[in-house]
Amino acid sequence: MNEVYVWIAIGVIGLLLIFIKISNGKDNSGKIRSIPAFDKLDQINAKMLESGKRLIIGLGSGFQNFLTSINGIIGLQAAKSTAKQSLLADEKPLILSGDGSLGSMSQVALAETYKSLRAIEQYKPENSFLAGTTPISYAASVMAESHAKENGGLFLVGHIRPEMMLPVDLVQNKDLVCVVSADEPGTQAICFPNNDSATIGEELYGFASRTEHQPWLTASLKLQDLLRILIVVSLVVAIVLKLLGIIL
Amino acid sequence: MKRIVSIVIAITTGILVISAIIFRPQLNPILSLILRWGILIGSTAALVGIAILIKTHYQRIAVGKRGFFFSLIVVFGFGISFLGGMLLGVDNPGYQKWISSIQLPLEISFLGLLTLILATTGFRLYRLRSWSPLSISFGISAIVFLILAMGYLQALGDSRLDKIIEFIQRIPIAGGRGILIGMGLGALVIGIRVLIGVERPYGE
Repeated sequence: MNEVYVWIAIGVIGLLLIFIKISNGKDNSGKIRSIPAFDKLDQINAKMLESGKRLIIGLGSGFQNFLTSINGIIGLQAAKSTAKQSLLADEKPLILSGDGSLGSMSQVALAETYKSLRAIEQYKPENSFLAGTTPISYAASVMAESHAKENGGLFLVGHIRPEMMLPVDLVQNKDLVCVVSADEPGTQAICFPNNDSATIGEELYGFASRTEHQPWLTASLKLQDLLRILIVVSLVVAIVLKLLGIIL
Repeated sequence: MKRIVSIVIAITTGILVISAIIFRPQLNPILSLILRWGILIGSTAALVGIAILIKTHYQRIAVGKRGFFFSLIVVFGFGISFLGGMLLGVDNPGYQKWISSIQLPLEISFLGLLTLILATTGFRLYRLRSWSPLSISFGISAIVFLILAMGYLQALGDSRLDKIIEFIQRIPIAGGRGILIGMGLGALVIGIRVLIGVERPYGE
């Protein structure tokens, strides 16, 4: 029976998303509050273009060991938008994945992005690869790549585990900029005091709407806010009812 | 055409998996079939990923790029492990002992390094974040929970104090759940976007 409720919930949320999108029309402003970490990322991208350095994007261990994390998709969006921004740059961003599927998807996403910009010659397979098959080897590999002199900054986005604090520390010691947008609360807690450019909670989902400006992304953020309000109201009502002894 | 085919495959697979989870006993064969395909495709993707990794390191060695020595270690280590696994078999106790005696000390020393870095974290907090309400509350809560985790206060055996400590220890769980609800909603909405074909991580 519980499964039927899940099915109904997914259906209702899907319909709500479509409804919000239709009611928004072509509103693709994606106006959200300022997220300091992503504001800094814009500055880094501009700086990279001037200095001829490259940005390393760590997509984390997305779909690894069946601990499926759909948040790897946010990393792919980051890879695509950075590729677009650095079209004129000498050094293209280096995308490091911690999982085979995510590595292959990032290759396809990069190739498709350059193709859509009519600049397929800019696509180089060596700019995106699987950096490690275990969380520790991935962290070690990101550290090694971050150490290279052509590196100008590090952007970790998606399913980022706490071990990734090591490359973050290395990059900061080299006085380079590092932005961490992790989906794991543990990593967020570790990165908050270590890094002035770390996102907290669901700020991660604000990335795409800042760069892509698509009506669907704006509708998604509005739907997330609506669902959050509904959950808060339901929790408060449940607490009151429990206090009154109406529900046990 | 290629784009439409990939969208159709993604949507069909998504709907089939959700339907199979909901109508479990009836659609179990379909679910296990799709999962087997998923494992197969995931493993192939990992192989492709490893091949690209080795190719990238090989190119670095070939052109003598700065730091190519590390690439040499990667390729050499991979080659030896791969050959060992192929010749002896991955279940061979000798092979497993050989691999774990290299991997375990490396991973443990890596984690030791991580512990040291985390220990210095507190000192960096106010240099990086300055004195803001958020950083002050973060610092205070870190100290409070460190003291509580030591267990000295619980050892006093005061039942009223125990109740207060229990209440305080529940606060981070509530905060963590709040964050997880936000993350869960975001993941759910992304999933629905993939399911209705507006989010295409596999393409532009």
